[in-house]
Amino acid sequence: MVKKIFRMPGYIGLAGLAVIAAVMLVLAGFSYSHASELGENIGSDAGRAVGKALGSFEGITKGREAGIEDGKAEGLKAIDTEAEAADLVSDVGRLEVLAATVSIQNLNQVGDTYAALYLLRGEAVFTVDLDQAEISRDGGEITILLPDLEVDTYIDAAEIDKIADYQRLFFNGNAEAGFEQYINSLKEIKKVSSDSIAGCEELEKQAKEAACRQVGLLARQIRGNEIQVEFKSER
Amino acid sequence: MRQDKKEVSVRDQHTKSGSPVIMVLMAGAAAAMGFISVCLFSQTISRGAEAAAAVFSTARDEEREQVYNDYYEKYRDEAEKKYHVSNRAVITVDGVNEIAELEVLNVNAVGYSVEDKKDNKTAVSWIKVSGTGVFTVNLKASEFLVDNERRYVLVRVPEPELTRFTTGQAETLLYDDRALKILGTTLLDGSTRQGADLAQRQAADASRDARESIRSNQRFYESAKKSAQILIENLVKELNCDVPELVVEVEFVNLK
Repeated sequence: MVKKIFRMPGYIGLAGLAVIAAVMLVLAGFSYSHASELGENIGSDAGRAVGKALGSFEGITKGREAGIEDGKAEGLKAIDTEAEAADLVSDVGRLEVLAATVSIQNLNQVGDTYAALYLLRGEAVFTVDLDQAEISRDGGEITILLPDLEVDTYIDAAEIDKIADYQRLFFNGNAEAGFEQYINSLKEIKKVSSDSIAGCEELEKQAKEAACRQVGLLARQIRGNEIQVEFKSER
Repeated sequence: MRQDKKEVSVRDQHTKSGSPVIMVLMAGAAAAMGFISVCLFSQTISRGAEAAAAVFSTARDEEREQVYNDYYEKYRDEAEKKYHVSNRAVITVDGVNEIAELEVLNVNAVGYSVEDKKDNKTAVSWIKVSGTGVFTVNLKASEFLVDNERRYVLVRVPEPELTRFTTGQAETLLYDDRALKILGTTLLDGSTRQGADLAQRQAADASRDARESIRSNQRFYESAKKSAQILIENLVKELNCDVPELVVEVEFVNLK
């Protein structure tokens, strides 16, 4: 009995050891089968953490500078430019048929540091390309078919006046920004003004009537016949 | 009693002979499993480390780029807002004239304006401005003398004039405000107003320069005359294409 009792711990110990070894084997097997996945997760997390730290450092230093430069250039492009016609009028080989003198009041703003009101003077000229006109004869009557009108806006930079301006007292930008935005604005204003005038239906109607009259007069002076003048697009 | 002792003794013998075997087997199994476990764990660590290394660089670079881009976009948007330029133009038509001006020549010219910081207190600045001038002939003031018998048309027109000029592209060739840059801050760089005023003045000067270069060049007037002659001749002949061997003569008169 005493000997049994003495031998029992040996059995229990070995049995316990065997169980522990079996459990370790199972765990080892499980870890081995998922080793790649575990490694990827650890690597991914570590990589992201390091990447975040590096990216933050580079973002605050290089990224900040580059972002500011590009943002400044984008802002100074003056793409945000609009024009509208305020009032309506109640009448090389191109023939100019109608010239409208225009005044453009432009409010130019740079962020919230500077604003200026400019007055630009120019002309919008409607032309018809006689090279593309078609002449047809029907007995003694001549018909001239004209192509669509074109309109060009003529603005001279020497005819721009500044009426008023405002500038913040402190943190009022810098001269280079003011310089660049003015140059860019010149281009954009001309472009949107041309588009706006071209879209003015009343002016276009007057120009078409003028074209028919002027071409008809010219043709009658040259030819003397009954002359009919029309636009191709209205036939 | 003696039989009991014998039974105990036999039982003891059986127990004595079986128990070492089981113990050896159990010890062996435990050792084998332990050995295999150790091998598997070391393999697991090396495989895991390889996989981690492979993914680490990719994850690091992707996250780095993403975070960098986030900062870049943030500062870019702030700067765009700070320097956002807007123009709101209202166009008023002051007057309308019906005309009959025949465009005979388009001329492109370039003007320059050069200023020094000593003079303008802002910057050394060079700009180039292109411009287009248009020469026209006023057909309203023209005379058409038609001789049907002789198949002859004489056209008396005023001389071509530079009637239109427009400023085209303006380009900054050089700009140096000689500002001081200290620790990311710029000093003595002027104000937005100074820059805008300088640009306005220089654009106007350069535009005048371009216009003058067209106006003062006699060659353009000669070319405009030749072009007017050809265009008017063609126009008259086109309208009289049923008249064979029509002779068209264009005469320029100075109305000034």
